[in-house]
Amino acid sequence: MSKNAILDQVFPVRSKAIDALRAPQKAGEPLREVAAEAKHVALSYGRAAAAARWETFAESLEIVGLLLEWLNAVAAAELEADRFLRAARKRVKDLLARKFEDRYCIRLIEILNAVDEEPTPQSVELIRTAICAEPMPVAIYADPEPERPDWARNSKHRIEEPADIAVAFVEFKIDGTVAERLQHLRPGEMHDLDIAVRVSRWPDKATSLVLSPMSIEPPSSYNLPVFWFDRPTGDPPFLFQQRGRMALHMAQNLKARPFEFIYTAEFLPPASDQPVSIAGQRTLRLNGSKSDQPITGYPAIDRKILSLRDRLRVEPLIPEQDLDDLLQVLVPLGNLMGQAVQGALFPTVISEAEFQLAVREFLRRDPALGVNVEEQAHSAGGRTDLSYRGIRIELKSETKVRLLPDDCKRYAGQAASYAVGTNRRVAVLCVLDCSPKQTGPFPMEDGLFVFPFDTGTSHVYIVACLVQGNIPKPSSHSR
Amino acid sequence: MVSKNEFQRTIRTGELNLSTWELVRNWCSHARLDKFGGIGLIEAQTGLPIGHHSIKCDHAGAAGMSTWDLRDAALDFHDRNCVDCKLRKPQGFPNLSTLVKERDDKRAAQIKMQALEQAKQADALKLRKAQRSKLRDSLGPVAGAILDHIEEFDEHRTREHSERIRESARLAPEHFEPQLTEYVLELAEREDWFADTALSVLKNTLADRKRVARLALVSIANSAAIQSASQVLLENLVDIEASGIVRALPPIIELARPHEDILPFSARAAEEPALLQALWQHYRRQVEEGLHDLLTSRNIHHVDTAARGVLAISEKHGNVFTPFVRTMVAKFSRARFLLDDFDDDDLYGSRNLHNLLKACSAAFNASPRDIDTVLQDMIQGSDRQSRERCYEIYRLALNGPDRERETVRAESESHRLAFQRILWAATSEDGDGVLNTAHDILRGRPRELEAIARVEFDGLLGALLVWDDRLRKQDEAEQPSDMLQVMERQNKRSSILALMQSAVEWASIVAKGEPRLIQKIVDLLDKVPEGRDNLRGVLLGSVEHLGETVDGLKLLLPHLYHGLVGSSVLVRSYAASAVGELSSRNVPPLVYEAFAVLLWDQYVAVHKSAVHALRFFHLPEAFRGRAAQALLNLIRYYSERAGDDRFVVECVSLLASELHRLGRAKSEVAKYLVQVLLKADPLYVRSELRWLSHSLGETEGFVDLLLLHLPLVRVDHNSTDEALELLEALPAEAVQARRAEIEAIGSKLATDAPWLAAHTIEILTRANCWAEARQVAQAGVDAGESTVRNQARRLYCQSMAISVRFEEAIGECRLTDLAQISKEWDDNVLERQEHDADVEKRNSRSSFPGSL
Repeated sequence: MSKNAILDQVFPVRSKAIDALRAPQKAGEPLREVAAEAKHVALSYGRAAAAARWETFAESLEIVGLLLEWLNAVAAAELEADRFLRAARKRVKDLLARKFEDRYCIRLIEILNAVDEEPTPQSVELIRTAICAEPMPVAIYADPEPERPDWARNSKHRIEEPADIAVAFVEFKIDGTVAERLQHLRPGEMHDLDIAVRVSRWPDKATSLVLSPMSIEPPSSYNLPVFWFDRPTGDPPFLFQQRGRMALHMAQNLKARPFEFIYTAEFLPPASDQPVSIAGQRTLRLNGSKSDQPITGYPAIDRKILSLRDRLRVEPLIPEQDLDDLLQVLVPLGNLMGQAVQGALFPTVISEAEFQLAVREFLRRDPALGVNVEEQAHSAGGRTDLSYRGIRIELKSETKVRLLPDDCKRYAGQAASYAVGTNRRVAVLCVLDCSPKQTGPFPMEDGLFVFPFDTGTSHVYIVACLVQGNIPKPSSHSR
Repeated sequence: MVSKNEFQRTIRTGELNLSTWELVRNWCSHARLDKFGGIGLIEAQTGLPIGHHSIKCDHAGAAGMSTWDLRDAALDFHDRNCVDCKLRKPQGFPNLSTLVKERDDKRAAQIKMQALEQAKQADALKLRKAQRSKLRDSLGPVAGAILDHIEEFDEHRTREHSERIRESARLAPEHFEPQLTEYVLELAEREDWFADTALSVLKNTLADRKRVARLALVSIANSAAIQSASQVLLENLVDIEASGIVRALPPIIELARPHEDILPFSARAAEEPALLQALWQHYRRQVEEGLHDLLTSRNIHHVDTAARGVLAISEKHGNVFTPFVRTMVAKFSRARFLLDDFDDDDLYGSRNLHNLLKACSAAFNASPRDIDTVLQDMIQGSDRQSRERCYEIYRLALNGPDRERETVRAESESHRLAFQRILWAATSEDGDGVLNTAHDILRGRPRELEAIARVEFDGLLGALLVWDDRLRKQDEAEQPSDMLQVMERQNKRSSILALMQSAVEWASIVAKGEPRLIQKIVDLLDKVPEGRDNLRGVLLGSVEHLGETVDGLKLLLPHLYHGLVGSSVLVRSYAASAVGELSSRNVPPLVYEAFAVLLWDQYVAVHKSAVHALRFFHLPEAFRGRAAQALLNLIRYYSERAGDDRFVVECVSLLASELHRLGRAKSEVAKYLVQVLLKADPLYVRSELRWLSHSLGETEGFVDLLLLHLPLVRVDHNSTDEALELLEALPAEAVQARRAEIEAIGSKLATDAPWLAAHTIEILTRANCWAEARQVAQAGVDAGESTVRNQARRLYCQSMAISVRFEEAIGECRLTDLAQISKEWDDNVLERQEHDADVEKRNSRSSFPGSL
């Protein structure tokens, strides 16, 4: 009913204390426990008159507890048994020294005064019973010390400004060159890692600044340095440079995300009012793919696929699953591009339909793709040539004019439309150049590239695979 | 005092509340309208439910809210209690469901709007991300990382993200490549949330300064990034496009001199006038145009803004007022005609043009003669209210904005001129406003205006004579028959009389210690013609200050004594009051003897003034007995009359002190005084209760007086609990002697003020009155029907009853009963937990008022 009405917390303690006084126990411990609770109640009453009553009552419980301990010690012939009695007498003396005006307090002290005479088990029992039989006035309200409300404490003259944030602007160099957004790093080799840090302010009590790497990778898979900088002299901003050594111990799978490390900064000794925020190259993203591990069987095409993967990974609009599916289908297509040059797979002029049939069979032959390669799926009101898990593959066959990689971009519109129609951001454009040629083929990996196609609002990415066919025999050039 | 507008608003609220109550009544016949606080004049006259009201019901919990707009309380009550109620008794249509539907529709519309706005923002964010994605390809790795920071900030608008970008520009400006800088500018031009960060970044880059200055000006105009933009503009003053200044001026003024809330619950922003002052210096024509546009607006906020702007500029450029003076004075004095949203009665609200008044008064202080000419021109051709507002300008110029000023020198032209104008106006103008303005100036002591009062001494005395003349003419005029006119006339009389008393006080303060000036006052007293009793009486008041010196007292004493024993009732009354103000040193006993006689004076005005004066000094011992007898005589007479309880209590208080001093607090006379107090209106006794407890605390019957006042604690929400505190301090014996009476009052209170009944239980148990305490608690348990509404009170009283019975059982050595009593406590706790859960459930459905 009132915020200061504390009867609820008081009555259970009173009831418990009376029970403890009435219980026929010999030990003083239960009484001392309930005395602690009674003291807490006394504190809760604050400035109210009941506080003194409860304080005296709590003292009485402790004194009776001490007397019981004394009786036990005497009965057990313990050494120094009288120490309990002396303590009880001292407590009573202290109570007497205080000038109480409250009738209940005065009555309790009168009862306890018997301790000063030579107590006996009977007189202790009498004290206990008498305290137990003394009714305590019911006090319902506490009178706590007034506290200033929050709004008064935060007066207009004392609004605390939040602590200034120290910013550490970080730049990394790996093996002497600025770290790229996605840096390729050969696993199993040691590399230099140079750090340049510019710090905006240095907290008064800080002695050092530590930059340390954080990662979800298992610690056994990498080794990155921790950089320590001691307190500088002069005025901010401060510039620090240091070199460390780094290594990746494990290679990563083609589809695996790159290693990601975030460098965090902390002033030492740590304190809550020294926030430090890292700006600049906060994140090191390292690609640890092994370039000598075959993917398509054609190393140059493999490297191209990896760079294409890295390029697309940093595009925020391309979901990870789409990128995985794209890479899956690029592996056999890359192999096809290689075979087309190496083994002259398409020696004559063929139509787009024939090329589609050949590519379909080639892709379905790959056990990783198989049944997921679809033909003539509907998208954006048209029919796509081939599809792999929603990644559209637009096929073209050029029979008349020789194509160079950039010439493929003229076919991009259709592939982009299919991609948008399937709610994807990537599509594959696979073009067979089977036109009659007088010159030899260009390097096969040059035919594999990615370019953005502007749809008007944002980009769709087209991966072009230019398959070279109708390649003249090398001997024909000698004629 | 309620203004016409306020009156109409109040009536409208009452009508709305009445229609809301009809809806509630139709909704359920169980519902009751409950009023919080007292009934005001308008409510009493119209019968409309005006003020804070709440809805109550026996089947609802006690929690709820009382609101000014009953719709808020009704909806809250519905949400808490009616949603799952099975006991509703509908009465008809339309009912509360109309309001509920209206509220729910509004909420649904708000939610829809919020969803639309969120979707719009999400699309915009998507577009910005796409643009950044394109841009990233053309940036180096470090610049790309900075672009990532911008993206993070776009997604999470926190200080840390903003700080990261700002510090990056400061620490590594070389990485802000041209495309990135261009993007920062573009983004800030489109998005206000980025303006602050961008302006900070662009300071460290090689961006086009004109474009940056334009961005800063536009940001300020949009009230975004005001601090940073201000800094940028100050650093690029020459690059500012002058055409944008007028639009940006209001926020620049806000920065220079922030609007000040009348009740400052939060810290006021610091004043930063540098930009406004610099713009005045470099782009004066544009700033002047902007200020003029604002000043001539019919919107009060615009005019207030302009005034603050002028004040901020005046700190550095004292000549700023010149082009605006006439407009400012006209706008302030004729605000009723020139502003659409002006409310003359909103004295402490945002509509009182306080800043414009400050600006006008500052202009007056800067150039008193010129502004005085403008003001006098304005006064000549204006209506009464406009004239009164002109005098407000003089008042502020004289008093200063905050009454904490340094001493004003006598040579101060502005102060002297303003003083003369106000004094003259108060003697010639009829309106209450001017009298109030003059009274505001002359109230209290002259303090920092003492030098001005000294040089205008003759003017003060002259005004005194004119005021007395006005008073006399008014008294001689025929009494109006209309009650309101009578009240108005009395108010004016009081105002003029108060002005005369103030003028005498000012004159006597400055004359003190200057024989020449004292002599002027005494001469005036000498020359007061017969029959001008008011003037003579008011002049006797000068004895308070002039009597502090021997010379002054010597000159005035004959007049004072003559006044005390003279034939004029009015002068005797003034003289009696003057004795109360007199310093007791050097006063001949004859004066006190004459004073003591006034306590027996047959005229009411005289003996009431004498009793009132008696509170402020001690009569010599020789006259005390006679004075005590006079007081007793007055008490006997006035206690039998109705309507004089205030005076009776004043007399009782004085006589009780005297009895206490003589050690006769238990005498028959003291008992009689307590009986008189028991019959007096508690309104007047309550304020004296603690003081009376010192004198009559031990007198028989005083406990009855405290008991009489105990129930009043609950109806007076503003008073302290003195009766309660005094009762709690009573010795146990006194409580035991009145145990039955305390129990009776406690039991009565337990029904509707159990928190107060709890105090009686504390008082009774402290004196071992266990049975009575138990009865009080039990009365709370048994009172009323067992409804949901009464449940909280019942459980609360039950817990008190159990506690009392527990201690009672201990006292009576019935220790075997304790276990059963403790079990009852546990059962009660369980019941209350269930009740609390129900209350919690109801409260969870409550929402913040103001949904309609």
